[in-house]
Amino acid sequence: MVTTDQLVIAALNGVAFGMLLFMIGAGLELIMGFLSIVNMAHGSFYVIGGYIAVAVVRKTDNFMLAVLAGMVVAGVIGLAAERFLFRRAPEHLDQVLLTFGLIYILHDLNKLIWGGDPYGIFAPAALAGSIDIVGRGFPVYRLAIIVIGLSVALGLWLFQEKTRLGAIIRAGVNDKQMVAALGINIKMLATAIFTIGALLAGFAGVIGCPIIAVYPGLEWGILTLGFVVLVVGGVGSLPGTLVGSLLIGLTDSLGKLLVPQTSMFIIIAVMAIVLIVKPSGLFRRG
Amino acid sequence: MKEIILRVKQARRDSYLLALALILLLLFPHLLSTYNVSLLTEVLIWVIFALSLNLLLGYTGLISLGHAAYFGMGGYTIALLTVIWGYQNFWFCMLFALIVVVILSFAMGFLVVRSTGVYFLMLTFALAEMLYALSVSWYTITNGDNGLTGINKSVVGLPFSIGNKTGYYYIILAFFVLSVIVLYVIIRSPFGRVLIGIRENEVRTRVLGYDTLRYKYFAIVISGTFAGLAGALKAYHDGVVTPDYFGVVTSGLVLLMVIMGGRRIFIGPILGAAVIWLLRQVISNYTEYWSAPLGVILVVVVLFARQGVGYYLVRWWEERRHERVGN
Repeated sequence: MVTTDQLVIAALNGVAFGMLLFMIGAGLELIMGFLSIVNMAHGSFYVIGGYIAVAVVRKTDNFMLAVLAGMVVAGVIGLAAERFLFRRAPEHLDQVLLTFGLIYILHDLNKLIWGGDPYGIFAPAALAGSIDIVGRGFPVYRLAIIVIGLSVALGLWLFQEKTRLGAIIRAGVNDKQMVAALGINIKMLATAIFTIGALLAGFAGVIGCPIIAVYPGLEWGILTLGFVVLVVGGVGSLPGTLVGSLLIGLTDSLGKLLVPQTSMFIIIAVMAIVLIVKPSGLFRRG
Repeated sequence: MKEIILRVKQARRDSYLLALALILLLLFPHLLSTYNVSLLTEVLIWVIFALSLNLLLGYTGLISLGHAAYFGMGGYTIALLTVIWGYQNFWFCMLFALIVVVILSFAMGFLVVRSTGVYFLMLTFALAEMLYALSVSWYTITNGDNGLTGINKSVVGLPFSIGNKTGYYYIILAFFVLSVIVLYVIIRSPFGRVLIGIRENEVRTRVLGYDTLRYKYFAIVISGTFAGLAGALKAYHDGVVTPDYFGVVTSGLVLLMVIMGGRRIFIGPILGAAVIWLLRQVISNYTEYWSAPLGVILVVVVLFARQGVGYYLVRWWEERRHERVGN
């Protein structure tokens, strides 16, 4: 029988995982909403963030530095890719295919630089250890992820609703040509959006590194999770992404507790139900 | 009058070429080493796979990133039938596998048919990845990462066994020719025309009175069936199936084949499959880093040869032919 404290722990794990999923999904959703392209390489940026984190932490033991480094490297690669590759492709499909090609290239690059073994890091000293929750130990770091995730969500929401750039982005999602007609450099904006998305992915990669080890091939799994979140939550809506990621995170965590062998099945079931009931996701654009 | 003569000459030329290709294919086992025969068998299987994807991608305009789902289903059905449940009859297993794949196509089709564009892409990808995860985690049935081995003990009912590479080549060749003919007929049929209409402008096609949803659904099912066929054949060829049959590497590879070879022409995927598969095998003989070269190829093709290499080749060929025949 499953006890209440097991459920509570699983729920907390689910929320933590959901928050990580949110950080992954938010970047993907941003790129998709504004640029209408699926960034297939999103998982690759995550993985790069993770690898950089491992490298930096091993050398300097400084987690904050790792976060910064992971974001910057992912962001730079994203920027370069957008500026020199994606911009040359006329259609959305072409850009998607280009991001797809990017995965292959980055995959081998990662394998070349870091090798094929999985790597992980320990949570930073300040967040290590566990705290007592309902009589069991729960890793402080996972609570930290929840806090970080909420902060990111809040930050993104503020950015979207309260800043000028956010307003431009929201307008661009609705009517790109009008925004261009208003004199805003759409091309630079596209590059900026993509870079921000890559930054977010790299950030998520660093944050997630203490709980998910990075290895060549992880990018596909991360991408899948991102897709599922987006399909369930709907594109074009930040609350949707949040709800979607929490839903998936909880489903995964509780599923693993209650029906261990078939937790994947349950995620498919959830996705299928959402698809049948609301094909464009729980929260539609807007 | 001159036009008609031109067309007849071209048609005759085309049929000579086809006959030549067929003869070559029939003779290859006697001309090539066993390793190369095996390689060619794989190419034929990938061609079926690529053609199936192109029905969806090139002709209906739906980009599926999870086509390996059907491929893997075909393969795993064969594996389960032969290894776990001990059915040794090749034909029975193939039929059973095809039925299973058709059912899967109907089920998955139901989930994805209402989405378009990016959603379709993400959904098909996610579904295939989940089947991948399922095949890894459902250890008791699928043996997880290790895969299921021992498939080639099956009986074909002909004077050779599945394990005989040359003998098996001819069976694959038969399936290959059959698949090519059937897919070609489908594409040229009114049904295929409607698919092209959907690709070009779905709204307009609907306005013309076609139930585009139903057409897309059928396209998915047909496409999935042939992909499953390819997977089943591959399982017999390899003798072992692993979760990679469902994997994104497989989906990506077949997508690359179609894009690179050309998605608007029938021969495109054939070319793409042959080139990409042979490239992959050759490169992996020298280095484990075969991903990046294929990624670079994809990037180059998308940026500089958008319609696929096969398309430009065929156009060049047609132009040269016009110069010659027209005189």
